[in-house]
Parts: sequence; C-alpha cells; structure tokens
Amino acid sequence: MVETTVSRRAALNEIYQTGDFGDITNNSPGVIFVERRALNIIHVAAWEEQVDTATAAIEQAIGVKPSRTACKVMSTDVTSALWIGPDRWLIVEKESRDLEAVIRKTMNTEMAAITDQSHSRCVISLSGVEASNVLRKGTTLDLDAAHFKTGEARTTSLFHMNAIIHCVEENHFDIYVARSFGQSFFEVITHASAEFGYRIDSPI
Amino acid sequence: MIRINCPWCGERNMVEFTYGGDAINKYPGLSEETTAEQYFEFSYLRDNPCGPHLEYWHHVNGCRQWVKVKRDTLTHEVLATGPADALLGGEKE
Repeated sequence: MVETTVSRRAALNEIYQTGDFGDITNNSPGVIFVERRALNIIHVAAWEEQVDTATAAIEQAIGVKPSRTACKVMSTDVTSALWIGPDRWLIVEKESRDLEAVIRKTMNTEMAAITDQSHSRCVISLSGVEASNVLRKGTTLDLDAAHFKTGEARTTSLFHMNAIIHCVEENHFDIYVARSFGQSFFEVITHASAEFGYRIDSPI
Repeated sequence: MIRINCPWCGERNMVEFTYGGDAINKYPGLSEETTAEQYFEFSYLRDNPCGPHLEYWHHVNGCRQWVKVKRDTLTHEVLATGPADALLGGEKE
C-alpha cells in the first residue's frame, strides 16, 4: 500500500502574489492584505444548560474565558475566542499544537459539540487607512469605530458571501470566509481596493 | 430597506436574514383527531393582513438563530422582535 502524506495548502496558494497593485500614490497603499495561513480553528457549541461549565472548561484549556456577550472576542497572546452566536465560539490560533486535543482535555461532549474547522476557512487580514472603506462597499454593517469596536467580531454578508469580520484594532480586520470562496472573495476585495492602491504582503 | 433587531446580534439589515414564513398559524397537533383539513388550512390558507403581522426570519448570515418579527405589512415598520418562541401578541390560539 502506498502511503501518502497530505501537506497543508493555503486557500490562496495558487493565486497569491505579493507586491503593490492599483492606484498607489506617494508609495502609501490604502490597504494591505496578508493571508493568515495554517490556523487551528475549533468550533465549540455549548449545550444550553452546560454553558457555565463549558466556558470554564475552555478557559482552563486556552487561558481565557469566551464571552457570552454578543460579538465579543476574548484573546490571549496566542489564542482568540470569537463569539459567533449564542453559546457558540470559534477558538482560533496559529498552528503550533493540537488545539482540538487541548480543548478536549478539559471538555467532553456532555458540555459542548467540538468540531475541528481548521481547513474550512480562508482568513485574510486587511489593514490600512482605507480598510473600513473597502469593507463598506460590500456589507451593510456599521463599521464606524465607535460602533464596531476593537475586539469585536460580527458575522455578516460581505460581497454576498457569509463572512466573519474581526476588528483586531482600528482599521485592521481579519476576514473569515469559507475556504471554497477564498479565491473569489480575494478577487472581489482586491478589485474593491484598487482605487485606494493595495499591497499584498507575505502570508503569515 | 428593513432593519431587524436580532435579539442576539442587535440591529442588522434584512440582507442578513431569510424570510421563514408566517408565525401566526400554529402547527396542528399530531394526535389522531387531527384532520387533513386542519393540515390543509395550516399549509395553504393564509391571512393577508394589512398592518401588523407575525413572521419568522432566519439570521442566516449572522448568528443563525430564528427570530420572530412583528412587522407592519403596509409600512414595513418592524414593531417588535424576539426569539422564535417569544409571544409578541397576535398569535393564534
């Protein structure tokens, strides 16, 4: 029997090209794109009557308690817990350990449904002074910094695709879209950025 | 454009939602006494009110929860929202 090893391949691997594009003036692109690769993404959906036990168990596993406040993201230096619905979170970190196993060590299926979604998303980081203006072209969300604050994530329709927008800091957003939409999404969002000039930096 | 106040996410544009049907009618029971006529009525016969109406909407591009919405069919004004099992007034017995 032939053994094959499947190596991880980023969603934008085939089309990703670093450099400056669009209408860049004074060598300052309005938007900078970086693909966030090799992330561990674990979906945790707590059973309603077990929510307190489940959030305590997640805290024990990753060092931060996921918030029950809508849209709130709780983060440590390495891991983030994004609120994506009532009693449901995405636990995200750069691949360095078996995150699902870490979570399952403190949790069991009596508390929550735990699903590895690491390969399901294409995550694009978008920053720069025009970042929110690019997103405004494709969503009905209020992106004003006073309303959509740092440390919040909202699920919405972005360029007609389901997306999670995580405001990492002012004018810096991480966008999660379904992996199979990754190339299409990247195409539309770079077109939307052309008028501001954009830079594609090396993936991280 | 209709803006719907999701009980979990807050006010969002209707493009994030999918209409999920009339929330006034009550599903007929599954007992032996339930007749085909009751199912026919439930499935096909709808009031067509001019004014406040109860509807289900699914926050499909959001938190994916079902939301009950009281909406004025004449003005599109959203009068009240709540979780799918909320009583917003106007439900049939």
